[in-house]
Amino acid sequence: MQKELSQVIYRELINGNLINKLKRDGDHMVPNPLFDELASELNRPHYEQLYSCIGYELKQLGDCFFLNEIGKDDVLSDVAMRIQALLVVLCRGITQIPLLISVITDSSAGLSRDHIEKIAEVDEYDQILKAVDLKNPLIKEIENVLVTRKIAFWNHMDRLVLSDGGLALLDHMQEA
Amino acid sequence: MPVVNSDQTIITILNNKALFFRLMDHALADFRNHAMEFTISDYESLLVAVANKHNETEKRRLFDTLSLDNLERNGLLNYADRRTGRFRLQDFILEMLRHLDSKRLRELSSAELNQLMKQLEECYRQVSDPNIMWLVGDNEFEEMVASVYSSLQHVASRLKSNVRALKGQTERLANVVDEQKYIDLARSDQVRVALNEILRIHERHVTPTLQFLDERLDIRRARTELFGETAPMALLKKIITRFEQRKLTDHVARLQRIQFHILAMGREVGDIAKGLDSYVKYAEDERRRYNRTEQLYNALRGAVIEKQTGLLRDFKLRADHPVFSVVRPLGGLKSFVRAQSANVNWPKSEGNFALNEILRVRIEAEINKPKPVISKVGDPTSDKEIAQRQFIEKMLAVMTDFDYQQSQDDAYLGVHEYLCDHLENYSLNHLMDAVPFLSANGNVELAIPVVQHAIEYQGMRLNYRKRCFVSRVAASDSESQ
Repeated sequence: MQKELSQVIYRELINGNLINKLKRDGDHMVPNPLFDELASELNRPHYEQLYSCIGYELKQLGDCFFLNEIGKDDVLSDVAMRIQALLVVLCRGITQIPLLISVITDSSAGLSRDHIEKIAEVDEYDQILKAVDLKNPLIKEIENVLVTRKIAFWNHMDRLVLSDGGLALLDHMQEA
Repeated sequence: MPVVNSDQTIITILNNKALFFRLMDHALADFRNHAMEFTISDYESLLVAVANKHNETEKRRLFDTLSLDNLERNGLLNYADRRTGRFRLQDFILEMLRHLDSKRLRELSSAELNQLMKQLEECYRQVSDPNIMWLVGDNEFEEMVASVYSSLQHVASRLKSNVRALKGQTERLANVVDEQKYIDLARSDQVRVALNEILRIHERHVTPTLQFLDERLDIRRARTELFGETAPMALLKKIITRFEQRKLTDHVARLQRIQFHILAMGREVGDIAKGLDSYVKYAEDERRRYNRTEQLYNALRGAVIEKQTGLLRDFKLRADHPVFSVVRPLGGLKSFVRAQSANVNWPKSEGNFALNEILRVRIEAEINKPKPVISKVGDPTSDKEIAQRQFIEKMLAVMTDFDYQQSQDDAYLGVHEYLCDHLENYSLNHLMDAVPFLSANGNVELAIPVVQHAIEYQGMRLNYRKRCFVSRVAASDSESQ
């Protein structure tokens, strides 16, 4: 285990952020050393034990890691609820523009800020977001909820793209 | 009007195919126009537009050649209905024009493939007809053979066109999808349309054609008036077998050539299907995502609407609502850092330096902390206080000798008179200090009826309600009685 990486990993996970397999480097997606550190077969059991000792469970969904508190498997957080609402509204908005949903899953594509503003103009979406306590403008909420937690990112063309974690979650929602 | 012969007319049609393509596009745009009819007015206006680009002589020649009358004279029109202003070109002219642009070729649908299937079934019926004498030169036999060849060649020809059409369309659509630019909204829309078109072609044309050409596939079709329970290629094989049984080897060889040609197209269509695989998968994924997104959106919207009662409260959804079960994998994801607590600071290297410093400072402070002193009651500090304490001690001694066995009708007066006699420097304001001694040795009760009394002594006056003192002895006697 690398101490410096472990410290960075802790800071990310304890703040409720995801650690994704790939991260953006300029206009490319490159391997994320934090993910490699966690996913390594040698390190994985140690990290699992480390976090279980302080009351957390290290979870993996597709190509991302995140934390949950031990013993609270049945509890869904408000954050998760808001993530679902944002993803559903964004995907629905994309299809109504109309664009393909793969625009938000392809790192070389992405949803522009103009498109997001257009989606935000729909009253129905605004009502849904208010119902999950997202009162700020859509772009701000995307920034706070999705981008900060590394569920999505702005690519080199300043367009919104889902990260590995966001993609895994979207796939799960599609299949559930 | 001079008559132009068929050769020249057809050549002129080919040289001006763009005009006819415009007509065909116009007809295709009207989804109700399955008959591929053209309007006479459209045709004539397009003809004038094309002719204006030529000089007078060529213009005249063009009008003469491509006029509806000349086309009709040369048998190139199916019909021309001047009353409704519509006409239709012969099928072979339309097929020829489509052939010139593979994008325009029509793919065979399931319905048309079933038509071909019926043709094969009819062929098989004819070769199985027991009334026909299989004699070379016999009229019925020769007609039957000619019909078989015509049908099989027709099937082969339609399938060949079909394969060409499929290739053309799929290449065009694949190019549209491959060149997609998400930045360009119009282009993205074209990609979306192209993907839907690819899916449609795969479902409605490629797959049925593959089924038609698969010799191993024994498709159970609805029974027709003749036969209808055999795969088309199996049926074709049976037709050839009939000729084999009659030892007509020449016919067998020719028919087998047609058969191999048709089967080869099966491989071509298979290649087209493989090429479309990735696009079909992409299109199916997009369609599935679209459908699922609508489902999730409608569920969320429904949950929000349920909560809306017109009030400004209680309209928010909770995380435990069933509509959010799809994100269960995230569980309790949130920031686990408490707002008021500091982040954990991992110590640098061994971290002992900081700890030692803290301990050093705290231990010093602990050592230097002043010890708390528990004090006794303080000595009196003034003469007044000394005199007061001495007087209290004297009163204590005097009240010890008071007769507590005797009940008093007026407790305050009784104590007052006793203290006047026995306590030096007694004044009326000391009376209330002495009254509690009575309470300790009996009961002091308010007299009934309530009577106001007063005591005056040395210029002081005390107004009080009369209280009587009942000694403990008297109280216990009255209880025993």
